[in-house]
Amino acid sequence: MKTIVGLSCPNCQGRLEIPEGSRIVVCPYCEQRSLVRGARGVRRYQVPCRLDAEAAEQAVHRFITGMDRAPGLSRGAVFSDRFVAYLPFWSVWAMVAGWVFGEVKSEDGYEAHEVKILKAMDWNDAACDVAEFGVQNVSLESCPLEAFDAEALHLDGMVFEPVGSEMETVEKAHGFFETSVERLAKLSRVGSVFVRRLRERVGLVYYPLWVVRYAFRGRSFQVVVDGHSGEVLYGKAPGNVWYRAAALVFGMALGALLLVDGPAVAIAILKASDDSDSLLFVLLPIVVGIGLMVKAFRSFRYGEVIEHRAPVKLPPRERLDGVRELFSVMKTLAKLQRGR
Amino acid sequence: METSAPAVMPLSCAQCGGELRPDEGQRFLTCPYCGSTVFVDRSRVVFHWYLAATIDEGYAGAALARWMAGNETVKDLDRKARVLESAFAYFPLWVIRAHKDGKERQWIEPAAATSVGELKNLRLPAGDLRNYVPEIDAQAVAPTVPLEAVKRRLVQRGVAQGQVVEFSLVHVPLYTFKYLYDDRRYTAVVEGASGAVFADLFPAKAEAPYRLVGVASAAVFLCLATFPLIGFLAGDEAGLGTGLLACSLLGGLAVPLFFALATWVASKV
Repeated sequence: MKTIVGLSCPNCQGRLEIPEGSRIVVCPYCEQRSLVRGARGVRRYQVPCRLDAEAAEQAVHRFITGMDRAPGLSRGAVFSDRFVAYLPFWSVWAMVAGWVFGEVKSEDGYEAHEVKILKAMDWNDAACDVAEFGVQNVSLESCPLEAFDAEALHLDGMVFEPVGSEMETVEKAHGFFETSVERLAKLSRVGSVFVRRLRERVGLVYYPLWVVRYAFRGRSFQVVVDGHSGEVLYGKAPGNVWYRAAALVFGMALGALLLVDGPAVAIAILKASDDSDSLLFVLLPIVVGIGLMVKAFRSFRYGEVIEHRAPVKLPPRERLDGVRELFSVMKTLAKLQRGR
Repeated sequence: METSAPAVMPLSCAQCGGELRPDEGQRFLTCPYCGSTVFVDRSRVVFHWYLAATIDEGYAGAALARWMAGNETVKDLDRKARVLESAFAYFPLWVIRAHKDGKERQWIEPAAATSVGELKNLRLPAGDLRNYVPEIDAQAVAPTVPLEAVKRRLVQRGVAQGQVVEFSLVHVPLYTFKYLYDDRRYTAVVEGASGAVFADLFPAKAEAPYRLVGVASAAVFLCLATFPLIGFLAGDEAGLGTGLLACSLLGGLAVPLFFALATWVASKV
């Protein structure tokens, strides 16, 4: 096979147009449908950039104001340059059909149950090393997708190229779909799971990000703003010595108080009321107290350059499930404690 | 493409012979001259790219300053250290994509010898990959590691010849800084597309004072927090009152003391 292979319609030898990622192409001359086999390439999309330079800078202005930022930062910061970078994200969309066989807990024990799931799902992950830009994935949920227009994008800003592997990414997506199916079934015990993906599409979505750089006292910092939603996704800023010291002292004091006296107060309250979720109530101040003390030290030690990363947006059901799992673990521990 | 002066051959259209310039990862493209669609077998070609720099020397210096003023290095290192020299060059990396154990993976190998240890941590950063142009030859380090050597190393790692999907030579823009601190020379590299700083050896921030202040404040406050509890266990409500009073008084002394100590450490270390 040669390096460059000319492609024409197998029926009439007419010129075929094959957009990347197509499975079936139609000859514009004889209307013969042909199936593309082998390496099909990848479909590319783009999300339009809704923010202009001023809006991006304003977002950064808001980012650099705050008690934990160095004094005089918002006045003294000098904006050096700003540009749009289109970052590619591997995306997988599929209608996921799943059958989950398992058991549901009822009053008498466990009941066999079969759950059918049919849901459109999607998943995405950065297609290049985003270290300095700090953005590993974006929420594509409410974003309009347009066809990729390489020329227009290159004129608008920098277009970054994917450097990862399509196969590995798609495998990750499949794993995500399977765990989602299990989670949606909400069975107490899972016996077996069958998952089929219908109308699966893999594509590259080029997402616009504003990169804004500013300097403060000879040191430069970079902030990445979401070009569609306007949110600051990642940014660095110089810290504040007073805030770091205060965070350490008050965090440690409050944390210590909670850690030592919190459980004592909790036990006193429980003795008076005789609640069933006793262990959780006593553990809570301990966990919060330790958390506060650790956070206090970290703000103190690592607060010289503040690194802000927007929390990854999980769909609401995932957040709830995490909390539900925590509560079920606590309940189990409580039951063990009571000797049931 | 194997020696230090690689022979460059443009890809030509199968129908009309016009020059083709495929983008990264593109398998199908339309010839800009005759309009026919061609398929590019990427495993038979070594693509040569360079990563466009988004920062100039001034910004690279400022990025270095920010890293020196950061959480890992000695306090105010950018003020205390003196930059001796800075150099810019496009450094070549071999990027290979191949199948191994049923998965497609990517490997990066330096394409030129370097004593700069920082470069072993270099990943292929996010960036605008552009077709290599001879105009940047003057600033580019010529590749000296032949493709054959890279292929052999791949075989050692268990990748057979037929499993390679694509070879690329990517020239990455790097600003190399040498600086002097405390009579010692150090090297740091600022990658020119993303502004990331790579340094193997550097004057690190002393952890001890931070840990000391952290542990001391934790110990003292934990100790103080036990006063109300002990008071209550010893003497019920009256004891609780005494305990709370003692805790607040001593706390009122401890807080400003530790605040001053923490401020001193944060601003000097």
